[in-house]
Amino acid sequence: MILNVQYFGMIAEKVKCESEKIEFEKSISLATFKSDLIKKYPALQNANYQIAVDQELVTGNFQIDKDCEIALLPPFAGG
Amino acid sequence: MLNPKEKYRYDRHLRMDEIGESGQEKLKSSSVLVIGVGGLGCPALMYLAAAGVGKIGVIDFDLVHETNLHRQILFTTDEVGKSKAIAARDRLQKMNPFIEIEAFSYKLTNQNALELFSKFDVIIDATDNFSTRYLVNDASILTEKPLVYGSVYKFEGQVSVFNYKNGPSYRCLFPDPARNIPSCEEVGVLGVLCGIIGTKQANEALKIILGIGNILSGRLEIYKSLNAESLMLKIKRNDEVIQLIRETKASFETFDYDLFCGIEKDSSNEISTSDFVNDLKQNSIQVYDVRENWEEPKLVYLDSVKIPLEKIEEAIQSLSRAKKIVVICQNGSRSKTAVDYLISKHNFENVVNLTGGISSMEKTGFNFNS
Repeated sequence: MILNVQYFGMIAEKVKCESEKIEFEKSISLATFKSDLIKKYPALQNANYQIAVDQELVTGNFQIDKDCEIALLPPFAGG
Repeated sequence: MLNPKEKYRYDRHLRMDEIGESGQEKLKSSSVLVIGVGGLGCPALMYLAAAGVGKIGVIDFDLVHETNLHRQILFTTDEVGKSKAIAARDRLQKMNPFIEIEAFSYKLTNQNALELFSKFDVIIDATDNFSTRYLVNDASILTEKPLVYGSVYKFEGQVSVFNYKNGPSYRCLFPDPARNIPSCEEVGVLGVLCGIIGTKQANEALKIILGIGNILSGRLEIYKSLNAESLMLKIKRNDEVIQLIRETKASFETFDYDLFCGIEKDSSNEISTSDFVNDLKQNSIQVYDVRENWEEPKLVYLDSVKIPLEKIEEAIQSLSRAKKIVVICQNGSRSKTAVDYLISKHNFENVVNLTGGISSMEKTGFNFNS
Protein backbone atom coordinates (compact mmCIF):
# COMPACT_ATOMS: atom_id res chain seq x y z
CA MET A 1 0.00 0.00 0.00
CA ILE A 2 1.11 3.56 -0.62
CA LEU A 3 0.85 6.24 2.02
CA ASN A 4 0.83 9.84 0.94
CA VAL A 5 2.43 11.57 3.90
CA GLN A 6 2.12 15.32 4.47
CA TYR A 7 4.24 17.24 6.95
CA PHE A 8 3.20 20.51 8.59
CA GLY A 9 4.81 23.34 10.55
CA MET A 10 8.17 22.56 12.12
CA ILE A 11 7.76 18.85 11.30
CA ALA A 12 8.16 19.73 7.61
CA GLU A 13 11.34 21.62 8.57
CA LYS A 14 12.70 18.64 10.51
CA VAL A 15 12.18 16.18 7.62
CA LYS A 16 13.04 18.85 5.03
CA CYS A 17 10.06 18.14 2.78
CA GLU A 18 6.35 18.92 2.71
CA SER A 19 5.04 15.63 1.40
CA GLU A 20 6.19 12.28 0.07
CA LYS A 21 4.88 8.85 -0.84
CA ILE A 22 5.98 5.96 1.36
CA GLU A 23 5.30 2.35 0.41
CA PHE A 24 4.63 -0.48 2.87
CA GLU A 25 4.29 -4.14 1.91
CA LYS A 26 1.59 -4.94 4.42
CA SER A 27 -0.76 -3.40 6.97
CA ILE A 28 0.98 -1.61 9.86
CA SER A 29 -0.01 -0.19 13.22
CA LEU A 30 0.17 3.53 13.92
CA ALA A 31 2.99 2.83 16.41
CA THR A 32 5.05 0.95 13.81
CA PHE A 33 4.48 3.70 11.28
CA LYS A 34 5.78 6.23 13.80
CA SER A 35 8.87 4.20 14.74
CA ASP A 36 9.68 3.52 11.07
CA LEU A 37 9.44 7.23 10.42
CA ILE A 38 11.84 7.99 13.27
CA LYS A 39 14.34 5.50 11.76
CA LYS A 40 14.13 7.45 8.52
CA TYR A 41 14.14 10.87 10.23
CA PRO A 42 15.92 10.72 13.62
CA ALA A 43 15.04 14.43 14.08
CA LEU A 44 11.45 13.31 14.80
CA GLN A 45 12.57 11.40 17.91
CA ASN A 46 11.14 13.78 20.50
CA ALA A 47 8.87 15.75 18.23
CA ASN A 48 5.31 16.47 19.37
CA TYR A 49 2.66 15.94 16.68
CA GLN A 50 -0.75 14.43 16.04
CA ILE A 51 -1.50 12.11 13.14
CA ALA A 52 -4.49 12.30 10.84
CA VAL A 53 -5.37 9.42 8.50
CA ASP A 54 -7.59 10.39 5.59
CA GLN A 55 -8.32 13.75 7.23
CA GLU A 56 -9.31 12.29 10.58
CA LEU A 57 -7.22 12.52 13.75
CA VAL A 58 -6.30 9.05 15.05
CA THR A 59 -4.64 7.79 18.23
CA GLY A 60 -3.85 4.59 20.11
CA ASN A 61 -4.15 1.22 18.38
CA PHE A 62 -5.08 2.44 14.95
CA GLN A 63 -4.19 0.10 12.07
CA ILE A 64 -3.19 1.47 8.68
CA ASP A 65 -4.33 -1.13 6.13
CA LYS A 66 -4.87 0.64 2.83
CA ASP A 67 -3.64 3.47 0.62
CA CYS A 68 -4.30 6.70 2.47
CA GLU A 69 -3.40 10.30 3.15
CA ILE A 70 -1.45 10.82 6.34
CA ALA A 71 -0.84 14.21 7.96
CA LEU A 72 1.71 14.91 10.70
CA LEU A 73 0.43 17.90 12.58
CA PRO A 74 2.52 19.73 15.20
CA PRO A 75 1.03 22.22 17.64
CA PHE A 76 2.16 25.80 17.40
CA ALA A 77 1.12 28.73 19.49
CA GLY A 78 2.01 31.88 17.55
CA GLY A 79 -0.44 34.73 17.44
CA MET B 1 -33.55 47.44 19.18
CA LEU B 2 -31.54 49.16 16.49
CA ASN B 3 -31.86 52.93 16.22
CA PRO B 4 -32.23 54.55 12.75
CA LYS B 5 -28.51 55.42 12.58
CA GLU B 6 -27.57 51.83 13.31
CA LYS B 7 -30.05 50.54 10.73
CA TYR B 8 -28.37 52.74 8.13
CA ARG B 9 -24.85 51.86 9.23
CA TYR B 10 -25.46 48.09 9.10
CA ASP B 11 -27.62 48.29 5.95
CA ARG B 12 -25.57 45.72 3.98
CA HIS B 13 -25.99 43.20 6.79
CA LEU B 14 -29.71 43.96 7.08
CA ARG B 15 -30.26 43.31 3.37
CA MET B 16 -29.36 39.63 3.75
CA ASP B 17 -32.08 37.27 4.95
CA GLU B 18 -29.47 35.26 6.89
CA ILE B 19 -28.76 38.28 9.11
CA GLY B 20 -31.52 40.90 8.70
CA GLU B 21 -32.65 43.17 11.50
CA SER B 22 -33.05 40.33 14.00
CA GLY B 23 -29.51 39.07 13.30
CA GLN B 24 -28.06 42.55 13.67
CA GLU B 25 -29.90 42.88 16.99
CA LYS B 26 -28.34 39.60 18.09
CA LEU B 27 -24.91 41.04 17.29
CA LYS B 28 -25.76 44.22 19.21
CA SER B 29 -26.79 42.31 22.31
CA SER B 30 -23.82 39.91 22.18
CA SER B 31 -20.39 40.13 23.73
CA VAL B 32 -16.99 38.77 22.67
CA LEU B 33 -13.74 38.64 24.63
CA VAL B 34 -10.55 38.72 22.57
CA ILE B 35 -7.51 37.44 24.44
CA GLY B 36 -4.31 38.93 23.07
CA VAL B 37 -4.15 42.00 20.86
CA GLY B 38 -1.48 40.70 18.52
CA GLY B 39 -1.37 39.53 14.93
CA LEU B 40 -4.58 37.51 15.27
CA GLY B 41 -6.38 39.77 17.73
CA CYS B 42 -6.06 42.95 15.66
CA PRO B 43 -7.90 41.82 12.50
CA ALA B 44 -10.43 39.81 14.52
CA LEU B 45 -11.22 42.88 16.64
CA MET B 46 -11.55 45.19 13.65
CA TYR B 47 -14.17 42.99 11.98
CA LEU B 48 -16.06 42.28 15.20
CA ALA B 49 -16.23 46.01 15.95
CA ALA B 50 -17.23 46.90 12.40
CA ALA B 51 -19.90 44.18 12.40
CA GLY B 52 -21.56 45.76 15.43
CA VAL B 53 -20.87 43.26 18.22
CA GLY B 54 -22.39 45.21 21.11
CA LYS B 55 -19.73 44.59 23.73
CA ILE B 56 -16.12 43.70 23.03
CA GLY B 57 -13.51 42.95 25.68
CA VAL B 58 -9.79 43.21 24.90
CA ILE B 59 -7.19 41.85 27.26
CA ASP B 60 -3.42 42.24 26.82
CA PHE B 61 -0.78 43.20 29.38
CA ASP B 62 1.84 44.15 26.81
CA LEU B 63 2.88 47.41 25.16
CA VAL B 64 3.02 48.13 21.43
CA HIS B 65 6.48 47.34 20.04
CA GLU B 66 7.78 48.57 16.71
CA THR B 67 8.32 44.96 15.58
CA ASN B 68 4.57 44.33 16.07
CA LEU B 69 3.55 46.83 13.41
CA HIS B 70 4.09 44.64 10.32
CA ARG B 71 1.11 42.51 11.38
CA GLN B 72 -0.74 44.23 14.23
CA ILE B 73 -2.74 46.55 12.05
CA LEU B 74 -4.73 48.31 14.77
CA PHE B 75 -1.66 50.27 15.84
CA THR B 76 0.15 53.25 14.40
CA THR B 77 3.85 54.10 14.59
CA ASP B 78 3.28 56.85 17.15
CA GLU B 79 1.59 54.36 19.48
CA VAL B 80 4.80 52.41 20.15
CA GLY B 81 5.17 52.14 23.93
CA LYS B 82 1.45 52.45 24.65
CA SER B 83 -0.68 49.76 26.25
CA LYS B 84 -2.02 47.48 23.51
CA ALA B 85 -5.39 47.04 25.21
CA ILE B 86 -5.90 50.80 25.62
CA ALA B 87 -4.64 51.68 22.13
CA ALA B 88 -6.91 48.99 20.64
CA ARG B 89 -9.89 50.26 22.60
CA ASP B 90 -9.35 53.85 21.47
CA ARG B 91 -8.95 52.88 17.81
CA LEU B 92 -11.96 50.51 17.78
CA GLN B 93 -14.14 53.08 19.51
CA LYS B 94 -13.31 55.55 16.74
CA MET B 95 -14.15 52.91 14.12
CA ASN B 96 -17.54 52.24 15.68
CA PRO B 97 -18.99 54.58 18.31
CA PHE B 98 -22.17 52.47 18.53
CA ILE B 99 -20.53 49.68 20.49
CA GLU B 100 -18.99 49.33 23.93
CA ILE B 101 -15.34 48.33 24.28
CA GLU B 102 -13.74 47.34 27.54
CA ALA B 103 -9.94 47.27 27.82
CA PHE B 104 -8.12 45.10 30.35
CA SER B 105 -4.45 46.05 30.32
CA TYR B 106 -3.28 43.25 32.54
CA LYS B 107 -2.29 39.60 32.20
CA LEU B 108 -4.91 36.88 31.99
CA THR B 109 -4.29 34.50 34.90
CA ASN B 110 -6.02 31.55 36.55
CA GLN B 111 -7.14 33.98 39.25
CA ASN B 112 -9.00 36.39 36.96
CA ALA B 113 -9.99 34.19 33.98
CA LEU B 114 -13.23 32.63 35.25
CA GLU B 115 -14.76 35.91 36.39
CA LEU B 116 -13.76 37.66 33.17
CA PHE B 117 -15.00 34.85 30.88
CA SER B 118 -18.37 34.73 32.64
CA LYS B 119 -19.09 38.30 31.44
CA PHE B 120 -18.85 37.38 27.72
CA ASP B 121 -20.72 35.10 25.27
CA VAL B 122 -17.84 34.04 23.01
CA ILE B 123 -14.09 33.82 23.70
CA ILE B 124 -11.41 34.30 21.02
CA ASP B 125 -7.99 32.78 21.66
CA ALA B 126 -5.54 35.12 19.94
CA THR B 127 -2.68 34.47 22.36
CA ASP B 128 0.90 33.63 21.49
CA ASN B 129 1.96 30.88 23.90
CA PHE B 130 0.96 27.37 24.97
CA SER B 131 0.61 28.13 28.65
CA THR B 132 -2.12 30.74 28.06
CA ARG B 133 -3.79 28.58 25.40
CA TYR B 134 -4.30 25.69 27.86
CA LEU B 135 -5.46 28.17 30.49
CA VAL B 136 -7.96 29.74 28.06
CA ASN B 137 -9.21 26.31 26.97
CA ASP B 138 -9.79 25.13 30.54
CA ALA B 139 -11.45 28.38 31.59
CA SER B 140 -13.79 28.10 28.57
CA ILE B 141 -14.78 24.59 29.62
CA LEU B 142 -15.37 25.69 33.22
CA THR B 143 -17.46 28.72 32.22
CA GLU B 144 -19.14 26.85 29.31
CA LYS B 145 -18.18 29.37 26.65
CA PRO B 146 -17.50 28.61 22.98
CA LEU B 147 -13.84 29.23 22.13
CA VAL B 148 -12.61 30.31 18.71
CA TYR B 149 -9.03 29.14 18.32
CA GLY B 150 -6.40 30.43 15.90
CA SER B 151 -2.67 29.94 15.73
CA VAL B 152 0.13 30.76 13.30
CA TYR B 153 3.65 29.55 12.47
CA LYS B 154 5.65 31.26 9.72
CA PHE B 155 3.42 30.71 6.63
CA GLU B 156 0.94 28.26 8.16
CA GLY B 157 -2.16 28.74 10.29
CA GLN B 158 -4.69 26.66 12.24
CA VAL B 159 -8.30 27.58 13.06
CA SER B 160 -11.02 25.72 14.94
CA VAL B 161 -13.95 26.23 17.30
CA PHE B 162 -13.73 24.44 20.64
CA ASN B 163 -16.16 23.77 23.42
CA TYR B 164 -19.15 24.44 21.17
CA LYS B 165 -22.31 22.37 21.73
CA ASN B 166 -20.53 19.30 23.09
CA GLY B 167 -17.76 19.52 20.50
CA PRO B 168 -14.09 18.84 21.19
CA SER B 169 -11.72 21.12 23.10
CA TYR B 170 -8.12 22.20 22.51
CA ARG B 171 -7.01 19.36 24.78
CA CYS B 172 -8.83 16.83 22.56
CA LEU B 173 -6.64 18.03 19.67
CA PHE B 174 -3.38 18.49 21.59
CA PRO B 175 -3.58 16.63 24.93
CA ASP B 176 0.09 17.09 25.77
CA PRO B 177 1.73 20.48 25.80
CA ALA B 178 4.50 20.83 23.26
CA ARG B 179 7.99 21.70 24.42
CA ASN B 180 10.64 23.71 22.64
CA ILE B 181 8.40 25.06 19.90
CA PRO B 182 9.71 28.42 18.75
CA SER B 183 7.42 31.47 18.83
CA CYS B 184 6.76 34.17 16.19
CA GLU B 185 9.28 36.30 18.03
CA GLU B 186 11.94 33.66 17.38
CA VAL B 187 11.09 32.34 13.89
CA GLY B 188 9.05 35.14 12.35
CA VAL B 189 5.62 35.10 10.77
CA LEU B 190 4.05 36.38 7.55
CA GLY B 191 2.04 39.46 8.54
CA VAL B 192 -0.87 38.86 6.17
CA LEU B 193 -1.24 35.24 7.36
CA CYS B 194 -2.22 36.63 10.78
CA GLY B 195 -4.83 38.72 8.98
CA ILE B 196 -6.26 35.66 7.22
CA ILE B 197 -6.40 33.47 10.33
CA GLY B 198 -7.63 36.27 12.65
CA THR B 199 -10.36 37.15 10.16
CA LYS B 200 -11.45 33.50 9.99
CA GLN B 201 -11.73 33.59 13.79
CA ALA B 202 -13.97 36.68 13.60
CA ASN B 203 -16.08 34.90 10.97
CA GLU B 204 -16.65 31.90 13.26
CA ALA B 205 -17.49 34.15 16.23
CA LEU B 206 -20.08 36.04 14.15
CA LYS B 207 -21.66 32.76 12.90
CA ILE B 208 -21.88 31.46 16.48
CA ILE B 209 -23.67 34.64 17.60
CA LEU B 210 -25.98 34.72 14.56
CA GLY B 211 -26.67 30.97 14.66
CA ILE B 212 -26.05 30.58 10.92
CA GLY B 213 -23.91 28.33 8.72
CA ASN B 214 -21.76 25.40 9.77
CA ILE B 215 -19.54 26.16 12.71
CA LEU B 216 -15.92 24.97 12.48
CA SER B 217 -16.41 22.69 15.48
CA GLY B 218 -15.03 19.14 15.40
CA ARG B 219 -12.81 20.22 12.51
CA LEU B 220 -9.41 21.86 12.32
CA GLU B 221 -8.63 23.99 9.30
CA ILE B 222 -4.98 24.22 8.33
CA TYR B 223 -4.08 26.96 5.89
CA LYS B 224 -0.76 27.06 4.04
CA SER B 225 -0.30 30.52 2.61
CA LEU B 226 2.68 29.63 0.38
CA ASN B 227 0.77 26.92 -1.47
CA ALA B 228 -2.65 28.61 -1.13
CA GLU B 229 -3.92 25.27 0.20
CA SER B 230 -6.35 24.42 2.97
CA LEU B 231 -6.77 21.09 4.69
CA MET B 232 -9.72 20.19 6.88
CA LEU B 233 -9.13 17.54 9.59
CA LYS B 234 -11.80 15.94 11.76
CA ILE B 235 -11.24 16.08 15.53
CA LYS B 236 -13.15 13.89 17.98
CA ARG B 237 -14.28 14.97 21.42
CA ASN B 238 -12.42 13.22 24.25
CA ASP B 239 -14.98 13.09 27.06
CA GLU B 240 -12.47 11.86 29.63
CA VAL B 241 -10.18 14.83 29.09
CA ILE B 242 -13.03 17.33 29.33
CA GLN B 243 -14.54 15.64 32.37
CA LEU B 244 -11.19 15.81 34.14
CA ILE B 245 -11.03 19.59 33.67
CA ARG B 246 -14.56 19.94 35.05
CA GLU B 247 -13.71 17.82 38.08
CA THR B 248 -10.59 19.81 38.88
CA LYS B 249 -12.42 23.15 38.90
CA ALA B 250 -11.46 23.67 42.55
CA SER B 251 -7.74 23.55 41.76
CA PHE B 252 -7.94 25.62 38.55
CA GLU B 253 -6.85 28.81 40.28
CA THR B 254 -3.70 27.26 41.70
CA PHE B 255 -2.69 25.11 38.72
CA ASP B 256 0.72 26.10 37.33
CA TYR B 257 0.17 26.33 33.56
CA ASP B 258 3.74 27.51 32.95
CA LEU B 259 5.15 24.47 34.69
CA PHE B 260 2.67 22.22 32.82
CA CYS B 261 4.03 23.60 29.55
CA GLY B 262 7.65 23.25 30.66
CA ILE B 263 8.24 26.96 31.05
CA GLU B 264 10.70 27.74 33.77
CA LYS B 265 10.22 30.84 35.84
CA ASP B 266 12.30 33.63 34.40
CA SER B 267 14.36 34.81 37.33
CA SER B 268 16.71 36.99 35.32
CA ASN B 269 16.18 40.73 35.64
CA GLU B 270 14.40 40.30 38.95
CA ILE B 271 15.29 41.68 42.38
CA SER B 272 13.99 40.31 45.68
CA THR B 273 12.46 42.56 48.32
CA SER B 274 15.41 41.99 50.69
CA ASP B 275 18.03 42.85 48.04
CA PHE B 276 15.96 45.90 47.11
CA VAL B 277 15.94 47.09 50.74
CA ASN B 278 19.73 46.68 50.93
CA ASP B 279 20.22 48.60 47.69
CA LEU B 280 17.98 51.37 48.99
CA LYS B 281 20.05 51.67 52.17
CA GLN B 282 23.24 51.96 50.13
CA ASN B 283 21.59 54.45 47.82
CA SER B 284 23.07 52.52 44.88
CA ILE B 285 19.98 52.41 42.65
CA GLN B 286 17.39 54.53 40.94
CA VAL B 287 13.75 53.57 41.32
CA TYR B 288 11.19 53.80 38.51
CA ASP B 289 7.58 53.61 39.72
CA VAL B 290 5.27 52.73 36.78
CA ARG B 291 2.01 53.01 38.72
CA GLU B 292 -0.68 55.57 37.97
CA ASN B 293 -0.45 58.81 39.98
CA TRP B 294 -3.57 58.03 42.03
CA GLU B 295 -2.32 54.69 43.32
CA GLU B 296 -1.59 54.12 47.01
CA PRO B 297 0.76 54.03 48.85
CA LYS B 298 2.27 57.17 47.32
CA LEU B 299 5.86 56.46 48.52
CA VAL B 300 6.53 60.17 49.13
CA TYR B 301 9.79 59.52 50.97
CA LEU B 302 11.18 57.30 48.23
CA ASP B 303 13.17 59.13 45.58
CA SER B 304 11.82 57.74 42.30
CA VAL B 305 10.90 58.50 38.70
CA LYS B 306 7.10 58.44 38.65
CA ILE B 307 5.76 57.98 35.12
CA PRO B 308 2.92 55.51 34.46
CA LEU B 309 3.59 52.48 32.24
CA GLU B 310 1.29 54.02 29.61
CA LYS B 311 3.81 56.88 29.15
CA ILE B 312 7.00 54.84 29.39
CA GLU B 313 8.55 56.64 26.40
CA GLU B 314 8.51 59.85 28.45
CA ALA B 315 10.50 58.12 31.19
CA ILE B 316 13.47 57.19 29.00
CA GLN B 317 15.31 60.51 29.34
CA SER B 318 14.81 60.59 33.12
CA LEU B 319 16.48 57.20 33.56
CA SER B 320 20.24 56.99 33.88
CA ARG B 321 22.05 54.08 32.23
CA ALA B 322 24.96 54.55 34.62
CA LYS B 323 23.02 53.38 37.66
CA LYS B 324 21.02 50.20 38.27
CA ILE B 325 17.28 50.80 37.74
CA VAL B 326 14.69 48.97 39.84
CA VAL B 327 11.21 49.15 38.31
CA ILE B 328 8.32 48.84 40.73
CA CYS B 329 4.52 48.64 40.67
CA GLN B 330 1.81 47.26 42.94
CA ASN B 331 2.41 43.52 42.42
CA GLY B 332 5.34 43.20 40.01
CA SER B 333 3.37 42.62 36.82
CA ARG B 334 3.33 46.01 35.08
CA SER B 335 6.92 46.62 36.19
CA LYS B 336 7.91 43.33 34.50
CA THR B 337 6.35 44.58 31.26
CA ALA B 338 8.32 47.82 31.66
CA VAL B 339 11.62 45.99 32.28
CA ASP B 340 11.14 43.83 29.17
CA TYR B 341 10.31 46.94 27.15
CA LEU B 342 13.29 48.95 28.38
CA ILE B 343 15.63 46.07 27.53
CA SER B 344 14.19 45.13 24.13
CA LYS B 345 13.31 48.59 22.81
CA HIS B 346 15.92 50.82 24.41
CA ASN B 347 18.76 48.39 25.14
CA PHE B 348 18.93 49.15 28.86
CA GLU B 349 21.40 46.73 30.43
CA ASN B 350 21.08 47.28 34.13
CA VAL B 351 17.35 47.20 34.85
CA VAL B 352 15.47 44.81 37.14
CA ASN B 353 11.93 44.15 38.31
CA LEU B 354 10.96 44.22 41.98
CA THR B 355 9.49 40.71 42.37
CA GLY B 356 6.02 40.83 43.88
CA GLY B 357 6.01 44.63 43.86
CA ILE B 358 5.05 46.99 46.64
CA SER B 359 2.50 44.49 48.01
CA SER B 360 5.23 42.05 48.95
CA MET B 361 7.33 44.87 50.46
CA GLU B 362 4.38 45.71 52.70
CA LYS B 363 3.98 42.06 53.67
CA THR B 364 7.53 42.05 54.98
CA GLY B 365 6.61 45.01 57.19
CA PHE B 366 8.68 47.54 55.26
CA ASN B 367 7.56 51.11 55.94
CA PHE B 368 7.83 53.37 52.87
CA ASN B 369 6.76 56.42 54.87
CA SER B 370 9.83 56.98 56.95
